Amino acid sequence: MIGASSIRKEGRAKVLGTAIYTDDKFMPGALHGLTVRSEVPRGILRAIHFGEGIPWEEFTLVTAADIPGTNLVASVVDDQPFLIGIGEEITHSQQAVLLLAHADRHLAEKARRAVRLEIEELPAVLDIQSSLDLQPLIYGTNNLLKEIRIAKGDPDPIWAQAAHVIEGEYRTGAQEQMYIEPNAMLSVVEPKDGLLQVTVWGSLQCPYYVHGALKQLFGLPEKQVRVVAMEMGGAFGGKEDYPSVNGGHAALLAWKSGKPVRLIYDREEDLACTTKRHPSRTRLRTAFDADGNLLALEADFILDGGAYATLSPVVLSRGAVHAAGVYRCPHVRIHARAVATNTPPPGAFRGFGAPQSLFAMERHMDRCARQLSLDAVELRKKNFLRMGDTMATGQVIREDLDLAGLMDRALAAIGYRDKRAAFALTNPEDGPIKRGVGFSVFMHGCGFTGNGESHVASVAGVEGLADGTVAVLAASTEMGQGKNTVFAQIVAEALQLPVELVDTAPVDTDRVPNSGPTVASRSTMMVGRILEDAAIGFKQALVQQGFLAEPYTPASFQAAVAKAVAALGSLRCYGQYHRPPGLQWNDVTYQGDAYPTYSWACYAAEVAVDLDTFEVKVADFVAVQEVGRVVNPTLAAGQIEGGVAQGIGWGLWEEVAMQRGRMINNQMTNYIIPTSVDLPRIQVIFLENAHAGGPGGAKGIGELPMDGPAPAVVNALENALGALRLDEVPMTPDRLLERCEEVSHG
Amino acid sequence: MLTKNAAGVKARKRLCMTVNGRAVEIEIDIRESLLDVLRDRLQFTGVKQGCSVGECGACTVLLDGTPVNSCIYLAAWAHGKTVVTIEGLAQDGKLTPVQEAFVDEGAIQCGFCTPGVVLSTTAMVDSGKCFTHDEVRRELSGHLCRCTGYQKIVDAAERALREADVAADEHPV
Amino acid sequence: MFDICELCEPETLAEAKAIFRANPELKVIAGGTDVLIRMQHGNLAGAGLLSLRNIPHLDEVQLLADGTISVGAMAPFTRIFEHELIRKLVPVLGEASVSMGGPQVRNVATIGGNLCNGAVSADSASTLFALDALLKLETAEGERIIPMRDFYAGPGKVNLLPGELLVAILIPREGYEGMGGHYIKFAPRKAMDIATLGVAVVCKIRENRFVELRIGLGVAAPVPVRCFEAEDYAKGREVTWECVQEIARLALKPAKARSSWRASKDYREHLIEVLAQRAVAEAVKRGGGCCAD
Repeated sequence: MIGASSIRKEGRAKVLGTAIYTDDKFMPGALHGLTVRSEVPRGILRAIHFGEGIPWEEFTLVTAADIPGTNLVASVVDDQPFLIGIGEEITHSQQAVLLLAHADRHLAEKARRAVRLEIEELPAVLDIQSSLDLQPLIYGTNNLLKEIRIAKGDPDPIWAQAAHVIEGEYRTGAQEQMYIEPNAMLSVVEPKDGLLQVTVWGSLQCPYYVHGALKQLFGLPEKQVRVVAMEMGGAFGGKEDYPSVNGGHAALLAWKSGKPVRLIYDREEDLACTTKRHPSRTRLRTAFDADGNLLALEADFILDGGAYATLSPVVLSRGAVHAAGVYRCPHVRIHARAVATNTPPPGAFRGFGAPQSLFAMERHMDRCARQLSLDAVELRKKNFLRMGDTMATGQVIREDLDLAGLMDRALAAIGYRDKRAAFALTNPEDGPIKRGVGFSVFMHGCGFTGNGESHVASVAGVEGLADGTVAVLAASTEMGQGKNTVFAQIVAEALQLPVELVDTAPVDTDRVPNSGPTVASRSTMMVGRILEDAAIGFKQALVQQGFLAEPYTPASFQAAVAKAVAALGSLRCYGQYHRPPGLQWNDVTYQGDAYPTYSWACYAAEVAVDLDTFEVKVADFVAVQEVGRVVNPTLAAGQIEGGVAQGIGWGLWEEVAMQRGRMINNQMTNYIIPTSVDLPRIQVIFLENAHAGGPGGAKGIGELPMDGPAPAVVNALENALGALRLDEVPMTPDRLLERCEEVSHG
Repeated sequence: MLTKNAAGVKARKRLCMTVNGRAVEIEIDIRESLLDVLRDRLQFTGVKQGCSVGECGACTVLLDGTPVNSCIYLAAWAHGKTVVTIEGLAQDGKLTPVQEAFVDEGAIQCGFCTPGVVLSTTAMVDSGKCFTHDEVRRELSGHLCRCTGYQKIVDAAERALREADVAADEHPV
Repeated sequence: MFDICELCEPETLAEAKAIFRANPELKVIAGGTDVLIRMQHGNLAGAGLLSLRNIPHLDEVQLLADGTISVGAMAPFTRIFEHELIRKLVPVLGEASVSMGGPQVRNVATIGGNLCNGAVSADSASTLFALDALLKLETAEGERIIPMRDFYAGPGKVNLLPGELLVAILIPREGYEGMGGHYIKFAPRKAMDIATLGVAVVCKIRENRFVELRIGLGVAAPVPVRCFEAEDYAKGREVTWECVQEIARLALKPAKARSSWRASKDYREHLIEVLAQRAVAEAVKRGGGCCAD
């Protein structure tokens, strides 16, 4: 089962149009909810004025004063209110102030436009530098949402001794997840057996995050809150933390109105107000000896965290751990900060901080190679991490790691040497098209950073059904990545059954245990491993209780399950996460095993640059990765292809244009994600190296492909055009023109 | 013909169309889009709403065989026309070759763009024309997909077109 | 749900003109891919719509007796791109038509709507400028025919009289016959995008000299523009690379590029020059000329 390209479990429903997404759920009498937001980045809310010509008495209205429990969204740090009250401080341009609902969607929209907010404006911080300069102070005592220091050895004495010290500064822009299904929530709040019962159905990655947020918002115990994950039209992290906010809003309206409420964002609202990838600025300083051996590395890594902490502390953490890249270095100092600004808070997005710091490191390595007059391939080979080496956090590489082999495979697949030689001959010729080939080598830590998995202590289970089939019980959600199929394969493998006999139970907090959030490339490796245990326990229970005799056939297993369920009423077996022996992490010193393991990759890109228009076309792309054992090759390749497409988009086109702290290109026409005619064929190669800690040897895969494309493409650009200040993504034509002019004007 | 929406009175209109092979006659509000009518009144929720302004292609339906964005098409305009939504392709639960190709090639991830892309591919297959690789990519360029990088979608469309070609050779009309 | 107060769907052109005369405040809607989007964005609130979709024959492409090509205002872009007459006689208009939006939009969006919404980025506008096209406008009282370049009054504004409808676009024989043409749409992505710049060129070449050259630019100024100085310069000159470069330099003259979040002024001006060069060179090639060094 593991290793086979089993057909996607819910594929048939999706292709028939019968898969039920949140907005598809039939709910008679539902009201349409809308959100009134501040339009200034910072100020004090003085009053809410309700305009004329609207039958306000027909509307359900919710303000901060109505909130029954705590007006703070449960998150890493509870600092974000659901709604801003009169006299309170507005801290970004999309802050929710008022919720309204009406049966007529059209009228509700008119009403939203008729509300006028009276706000006393205050000076706002809109970029990283102003925040660092405390111009003005807007958060805590220093505008820092989180600060992390990682130290290994002591770089200070090295700078003076080293043959070469090379510095660089790199920037990356915000990026929108652009799931095709906008954020959507549906809620009913009604008394049941005399107790208030809050139910939310939604497009959400992490049912138990929303569950926790609702408990806090309403001040209710666990049992009175229920969250159901509907079919999800893409997420990429964009439905990781935000659903705690809009899920809460929907529930507040449902509670106040006593009716079902739909809160479905339109695209413009979704783009303007929901989370994005954090913009970043990274300063790197590296020391090399005369032979090109890396001696010391210093990184100053800064994320723009927006108005509230949201997930910034953990995004920063992953970014910081990945900042030193895949290189052996005896002396490392990483200083990472997430700064507050008066912009809508960024949040999770595939990669989670790592794409930002890895872009800097992989661009920096190419620049270093140029300054050291070394080949970029040779410089990396000299410095790659190998088994037994120690990473910046002190983590020792315990697996057989062959990054040079991985890199060679990618370079051979794209024809790196031949292309470099050919382009060196053709690029000096007349004609506007210059070609280049470049690559990046990187890793992605699997699962949560540090002690995250221990804190969550995920539980997942297996349940026998009356028809003798087996259901997977986990809160992990299907967002297109293939969780339903992969979990079924893992359980089927453990039970030695055909995959058709295993399916996943609906993700409903009333039915499934908390297997943790569906994030951090953790579902296959972490939850899958727990499911493997649960499945084996399930089989043993059947055997011990005399329902099943080994060896068995699928038919006899199915009969045994049916018999057991009939006899016992229900049959479930759960597993729980246990920290593998030998893994250690210190949250204070940031020393230890940051991740149980890493996935490793080398991505290579060929570009053609048009020096008339400064357009960049990615002509060829190769993605080689080692992700342990591949559970489902078709689904895995789909993850890589989609991630590469997002990475190329981030590298070349995707720009969030901000004005006064507000996104102004918040339409699909104006925020440019690639279409089918903008991308090359992507060659995907898996090198398998089974990892003992994952189910059947699998490691994490979902986020990895986001890390490599941007530096590979920009490195290819440098190969095509020579030394330019290619220090930023997206490298739009406009920016590229500017960089080229810097050179021609000296 | 003038359909007035005088103060307080919503302008209604009788709409007759064929949806997925069945004659439909309903009274609609002139303000409704074809998407509104298909989703909210007729419960064809396979037609997806991703942007409401004709940018994402998730709401694509076939109108007299031609792919259109139903979100920016007045329902009133569908009078006398034939509409096919994703629900109208499979007969008695049997997937069409296009649907099968999408499932088998792994062209589906989150599935939100899938109904529209499958319908556009169906229109290509039904046209009986030949398409080069670049033309296939161009014909699908009105569908934004954020999951797949389009590779497996294009593979599935090409496979469906190839199979239709072979079928046509074997059973010439 | 659109914020519409009424929907008029006349069955004949005469009926449409009569309704429009009586109700000049109505908003004319053709394919709807622009009007309905604007309504979604909260504009045109409460408008009454005059839909032309039920009027037969307004979407036809025909070759008139005098060699004029008449493109019905209600012709959707897909029809224009695929039409035999356009492919044979004015392929440059086909190029512009297929560059617009994506397939589903092109199946519905009409050339008349594209012109009447007055968008400077309209892919068909710069091409029709270069083709010296004429517009046939009708009211209940009568008709008038005006050149394309008299149609645009400002950003989003066109010179339509109250109660007047655009009925057809006329491309006279001298506008297209014997002409090589090329349209370049420049946009960040290659589909579903709005032009950062549109350059349309048609030219007639004899013995490798410019007999005639016409250049239309979109998104280079608040309205689509013709590059008369460049065109005059070309007339009679031998086609050389230097000549093409000079033409491109002169093509910048009518441009009034501005910086926006989409692109800076510098970059836009740079684009106008290099893309004019490219479009002229390609049009020359298609017109049988040779752009030697």
